[in-house]
Amino acid sequence: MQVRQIMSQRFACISPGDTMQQARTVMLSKKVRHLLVLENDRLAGLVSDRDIRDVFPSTLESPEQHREIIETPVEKFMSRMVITIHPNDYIEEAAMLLYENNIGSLPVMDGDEIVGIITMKDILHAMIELTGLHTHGSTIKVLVPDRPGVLAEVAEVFKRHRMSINSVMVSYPESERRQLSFRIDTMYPQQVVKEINERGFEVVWPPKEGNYEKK
Amino acid sequence: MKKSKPLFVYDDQLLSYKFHENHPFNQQRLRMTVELLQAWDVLLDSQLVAPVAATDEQLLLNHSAEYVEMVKKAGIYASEHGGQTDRNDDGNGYDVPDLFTSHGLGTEDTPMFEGMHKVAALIAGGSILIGDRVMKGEIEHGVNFSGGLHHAFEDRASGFCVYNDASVLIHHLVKNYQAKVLYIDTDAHHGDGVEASFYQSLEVMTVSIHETGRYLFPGTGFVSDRGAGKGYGYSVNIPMDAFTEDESWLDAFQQVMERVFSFFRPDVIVSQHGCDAHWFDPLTHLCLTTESYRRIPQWIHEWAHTYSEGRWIALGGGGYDIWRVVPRAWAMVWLAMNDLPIEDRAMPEAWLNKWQALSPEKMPQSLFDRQEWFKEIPRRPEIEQKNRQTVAQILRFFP
Repeated sequence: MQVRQIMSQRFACISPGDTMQQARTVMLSKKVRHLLVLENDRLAGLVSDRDIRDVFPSTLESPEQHREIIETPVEKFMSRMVITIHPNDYIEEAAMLLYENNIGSLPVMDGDEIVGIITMKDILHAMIELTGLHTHGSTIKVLVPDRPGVLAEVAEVFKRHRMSINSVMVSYPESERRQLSFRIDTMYPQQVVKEINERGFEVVWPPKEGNYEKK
Repeated sequence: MKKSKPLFVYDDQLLSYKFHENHPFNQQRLRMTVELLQAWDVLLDSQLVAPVAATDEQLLLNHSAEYVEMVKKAGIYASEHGGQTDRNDDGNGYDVPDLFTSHGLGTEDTPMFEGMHKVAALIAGGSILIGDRVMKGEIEHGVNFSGGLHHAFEDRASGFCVYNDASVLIHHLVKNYQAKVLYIDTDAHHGDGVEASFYQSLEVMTVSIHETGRYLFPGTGFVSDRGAGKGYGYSVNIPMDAFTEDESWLDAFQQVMERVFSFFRPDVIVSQHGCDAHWFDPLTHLCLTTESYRRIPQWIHEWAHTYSEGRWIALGGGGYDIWRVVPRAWAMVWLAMNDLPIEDRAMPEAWLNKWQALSPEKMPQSLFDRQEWFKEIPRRPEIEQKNRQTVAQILRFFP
């Protein structure tokens, strides 16, 4: 999945000379946590809600006391070293950049042009989709040895039964084997589970059939 | 006016809702239930009523014209290609054109079979028949165990269901009687088709208690799915953890239903009695016993008299251990509905002899399960805790 598929094309921006108070108002009204600072249509910096909070005076003080502070231009405290990403990059790279740099968003740049923004929330949403949480069907989890072609061997069983695979995930619960989690469009997975077991793979969900064994 | 005794929809024709020999959905359970109740002398001939097929117009209350047309064609296609789309030994049946599979027909779950439209319409007609008799005040309660096909959608068959008789019935009740309808679904699978039909409606409230969709089909029915638009708050989902037992399940059901009834005063209750949440059921991982299947209809019967002037239409649903579970569970719905005591008793000998000869499993000798038939669930405290949390979260949404 590419960044362009999940980024927001609408993003909020301000100018370097705008005040902290203006920046805060834009954030609250547009319900965003990141503002792009543009100078002559070029990305000059980024202001996050945390930047604002760091420099915003206490709300317990009177407005007179902090008037000067809230009128500080954003260029004084914005981040100038902005980490960006390309629309064709994959979302896992975006996730890694956010994770490793402890940041919440990445402006999406096509050359010098800003085409969007991708935030942690966009990544979370994509993750929900990728895990198949919202897809229809029964979950089947299989432990398989780490060798080429093994996914196809399991998938062949579904094909024989004309069952659609709505989602598939690979995880590494142990070092020798991988776990494949399928979301299969059927209410009756018991027959295919039996066949997958017969092929020598270990189905870990649903539990084995039989009156008491299944529990 | 003294109302007549409850009615029970039955006709041998209903048994032709049959996908193929090895399919888990087996309507033989209807006949077993009827014969069991007759052996106990609690089902009078005068209480049996044959269904009348739903008209196309009635089916269109819930289904698209294109889909109904496709179901009719599917039956014809199946008859031209040798009856049922059962798989051969090599795992391949005849090819089903995409035209059908895109509507969920001719899939492994819902294969096509000769006459499928006719019998599916008959099932829906059975539910409507009971609905009309109840709303006209001729009877207080009635049951159509061939119905409760809660997975079918507007234009798609799903999970063994062709026409959604529950949704067709509810639309019929709203349209013809301006009724406020409460739908209660205790099948182990989420009642997704019925929920979808009324997701934006505030005349119809749907409640489904089921095994969590995290693993089990259809994979929906989360706590946060609560309806949309003006129907927001009028869909309730109670997902139970796998391996939930009677006590925790009944506690969740009772707590939520009490809040539902104080929030929504229905004119009529439609209940779906899938009994596949039982320990023995091969398709699910819930661990209920006959204790739950005794309490469910008793409670609904009481609620119907307290909140909806007795108006209650009961439907069937899932239930894939037809030998050890379904006849006993459904018999208890009928006993409750007829205001008969539900006490433990021996299964009738002749009935047992007849069906035991066909059953691959040893059939229970008594109406109630015995605790020693079941193993202890090792994670019980954890599961109960999780379910309590789920219920607390659901109750937070109520005003």
